[in-house]
Amino acid sequence: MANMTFIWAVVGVVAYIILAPFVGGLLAGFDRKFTAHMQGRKGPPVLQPFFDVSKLLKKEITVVNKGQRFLVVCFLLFIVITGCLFFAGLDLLMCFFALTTAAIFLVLAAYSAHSAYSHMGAQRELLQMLCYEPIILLIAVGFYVATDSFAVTGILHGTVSPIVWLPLLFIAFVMILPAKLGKSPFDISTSHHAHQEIVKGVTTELAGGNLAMVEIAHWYEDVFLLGVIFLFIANMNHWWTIILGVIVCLVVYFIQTLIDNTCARVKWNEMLRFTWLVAIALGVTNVILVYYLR
Amino acid sequence: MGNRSVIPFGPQHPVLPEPIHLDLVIEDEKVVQAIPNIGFIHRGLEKLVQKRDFTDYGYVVERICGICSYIHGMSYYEVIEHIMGIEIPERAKYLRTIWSEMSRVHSHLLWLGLLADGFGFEALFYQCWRLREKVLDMFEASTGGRVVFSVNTIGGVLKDMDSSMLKSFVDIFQDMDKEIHKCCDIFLKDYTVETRLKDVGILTKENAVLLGAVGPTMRGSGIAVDTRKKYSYAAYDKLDFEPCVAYEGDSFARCLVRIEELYQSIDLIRQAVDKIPAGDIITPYKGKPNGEFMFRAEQPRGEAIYYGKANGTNHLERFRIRTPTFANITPMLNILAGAQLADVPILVLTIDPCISCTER
Amino acid sequence: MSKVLRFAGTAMKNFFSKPVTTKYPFVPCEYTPATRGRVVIDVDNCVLCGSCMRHCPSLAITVDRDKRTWSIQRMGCIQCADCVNNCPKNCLSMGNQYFEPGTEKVEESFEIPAKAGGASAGGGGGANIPVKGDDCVYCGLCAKKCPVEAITVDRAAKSWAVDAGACVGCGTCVDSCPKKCLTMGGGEAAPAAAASPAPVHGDGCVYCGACAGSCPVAAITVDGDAKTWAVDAGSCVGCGTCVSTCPNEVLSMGAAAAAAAAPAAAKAVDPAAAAAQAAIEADLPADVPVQLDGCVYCGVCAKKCPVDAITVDREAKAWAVDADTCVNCGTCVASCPKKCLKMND
Repeated sequence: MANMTFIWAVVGVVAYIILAPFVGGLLAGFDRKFTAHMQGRKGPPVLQPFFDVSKLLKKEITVVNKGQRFLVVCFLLFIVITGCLFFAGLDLLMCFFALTTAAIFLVLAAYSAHSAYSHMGAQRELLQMLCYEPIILLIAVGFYVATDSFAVTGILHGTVSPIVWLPLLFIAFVMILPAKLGKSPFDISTSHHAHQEIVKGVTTELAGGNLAMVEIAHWYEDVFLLGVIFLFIANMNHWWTIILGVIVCLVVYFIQTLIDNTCARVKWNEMLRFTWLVAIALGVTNVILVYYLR
Repeated sequence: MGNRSVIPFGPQHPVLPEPIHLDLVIEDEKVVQAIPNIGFIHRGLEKLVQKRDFTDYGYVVERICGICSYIHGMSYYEVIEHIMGIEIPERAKYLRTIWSEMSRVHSHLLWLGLLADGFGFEALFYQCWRLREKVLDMFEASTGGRVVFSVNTIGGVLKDMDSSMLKSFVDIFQDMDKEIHKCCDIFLKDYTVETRLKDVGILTKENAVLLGAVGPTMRGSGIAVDTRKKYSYAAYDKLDFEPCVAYEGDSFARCLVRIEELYQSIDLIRQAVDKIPAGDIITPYKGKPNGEFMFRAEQPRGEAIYYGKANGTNHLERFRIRTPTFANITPMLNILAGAQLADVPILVLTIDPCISCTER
Repeated sequence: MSKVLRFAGTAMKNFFSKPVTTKYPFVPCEYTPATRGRVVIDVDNCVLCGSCMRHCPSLAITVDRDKRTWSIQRMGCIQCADCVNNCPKNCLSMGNQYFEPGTEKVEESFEIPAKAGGASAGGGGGANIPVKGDDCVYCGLCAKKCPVEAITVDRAAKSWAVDAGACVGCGTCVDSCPKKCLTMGGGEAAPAAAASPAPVHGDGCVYCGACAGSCPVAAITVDGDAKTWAVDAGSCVGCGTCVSTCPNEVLSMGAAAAAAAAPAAAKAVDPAAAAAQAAIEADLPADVPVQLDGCVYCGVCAKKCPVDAITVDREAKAWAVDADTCVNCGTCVASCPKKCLKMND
């Protein structure tokens, strides 16, 4: 049995490392296509993110300073590690810590450039972390309280889908997901559109290969985040939840695109207020309820 | 006393519609002071008056700016007509009024789109500009150009809009009404938009008067003055309207004033189409202008003053324009002080800056 | 109604509708009939008067009378239609298709064919200034329509005159006359002798040759020594440059001139017997023009001098330059038809 688990873990990791960029890139392409149709345009082809990244890789390397490349590589590395830990079925809390570490590397990369906009973007990214980190940790706690396990495999093999116990936490997660995905209303540190007062924020001073690595890292991250959504729904004892999980993932992703197109970008104080008052309130309430009801 | 740094904002900045440079002295995320620097798009168009005949210079004046183009051109010809004592036919006055108001509609829709873009709501930006496309199509059908119309001349206008065309335009505006309401509704009622506009950049009534604000910037702070009403020109004395005004002085108030002006312009077009008389569209003239005249018009951005001086030769001696944005830059600097960095694009956009006009 | 996500309805409606954007340029754009796309010229009606070139605010049009071409810089044109509105022959119009965008600046040139025969039935190709017939009522419409204001009409005094020097031969007056009493050139009433398009040589010619030098088609021959003046009527295009160049206003176009004027009013003009040539040169400061042999005191140098430093008296045969005023530009040297000036060095 332990052997099977190990083999599945290896399969998961390898599949993630190889397939996640493609899945993530396609998701990004569909996001752009859906956004365009919501705005009455045709939009770029669905494979556009791949064209963009290949163009970025062909560009001349102009680094602001040598340290930046190392930091961006670390960022990519830690995102991949996050996903690998997750898809190997290991500890969820470890995954989230790895994710946070990756984000810190990105912030350091932004700080390493001597650019006012880059620094402001880094500051805002740290602020964003203050907003979504509590939820992320609450999710890990919530899963533990609901399924008595921090490990992904353990959660998957629980008695019932976690969402039965954690609906409010799920909603809270969907609410703060725009911050992680870089979408309105919480795209204060960087977004896909450069039309904000700090130009491109965190990624202002990244170009060429560095920016390509950040793009690919975001694809890996998107797959990981959708994996967390999937974790809420799927349960190995009921095979149909797996299909439902995938569908819910796609629906949530679509809803994120819709929210992006129907909200203005809010200021940091509003974001802080909303996430702490609404999202965290929902999450904490849910966890406490589950703790007492189980 | 926090950490002070200077952020250069512009002239190349994705959120700015036109190049202006502001050195923002910021303390953490708060702007302490904004130091402006203009002149990036100065083309010497006022000097060109020495090289182009007064009959041809109108085309230069029209091209000072793409958004305010029509009223610039019309005002130039009004100045010449007043210097030469030419009385243009009634129908021409009404046609000029209709085109001016359509120009105001397109300008305010453009501004609404830019404002939406300024606070990160791209979908609303595209929606406003979609509506604006219909107005541009109407311009193309009636004058031949989408942005620059070249339809005015000394003594009147060059192209006529017959009654079927005028009626079709009124119908198009009628059809657009529901769409415009839906768009403007988002600006006025959506929660996230409200957090970006309400209580942001308050310009008090005293400051508006002291610093010389004009146009919707001034009317958003409670001063009910409109040049179309105060110094009537074209056919405005025959139309029924009151200046749109709001009292809070924040960005939301200025947005509200422009939205109300948008509806008001559509109503003015309807009124003008009802009242337009038949007749000529041009009065012939002879000779060269000699004299000077000062003319005021209400651009979508505020009051613009046009001064022309002629000396009987083919070239005017001087043609000077005081644009509304120039008057509004000082109030803008006033409201930037103490604002948050995230509000800077909104506050710059809230005066509806037209730097091309300002710098000519 | 909810206060958040208000735009969701419109966003979803857009999502399920067709996009409003078109795939231009793969799908052609539809323009309106009134669209000011590009300037179109009807070469058959163009008379190369150059009005369009003078009016163009962006200096995009070039009219070359010698080469008979009309060119426009397509990328410089701002589609204002100023040229179209000012063309006296209405040979320009605005087409509604924009010029295709490209990576290079394009200048399009059109050949303007020469008019065969001309307007009048008389021989020689028709003169290029209008001639008034008997039906004239002095309404003044021709004067109003003239793009260069060459016609003067006085209703009370019943007088009608055309300034041959200003007339560009566009024929607008002929088209605008309600009585149809104007014709270009000799017409039936004019004497046959004056039916040529060429300038007529009147009294006072000093054979300076300025007209020959200025003629764009080299139709005039002047021999200062032999005191002969001749024009090749076949080459003459009737532009009137010689008339305006002549310092003594000896020439005029067409029948209005005194056709009976003796062509070779050979005035005894001593060539500049400026004998004390070297003495003059030595006295003058450097960098002023110096008069050599051959001066005929035509006065072109004095007329052309931008600072009015030269004085010429034809009667007294005197020529002088004010060395203080002279700015050493050399315009006089270049303009002298006898090439009898040079800069003193």
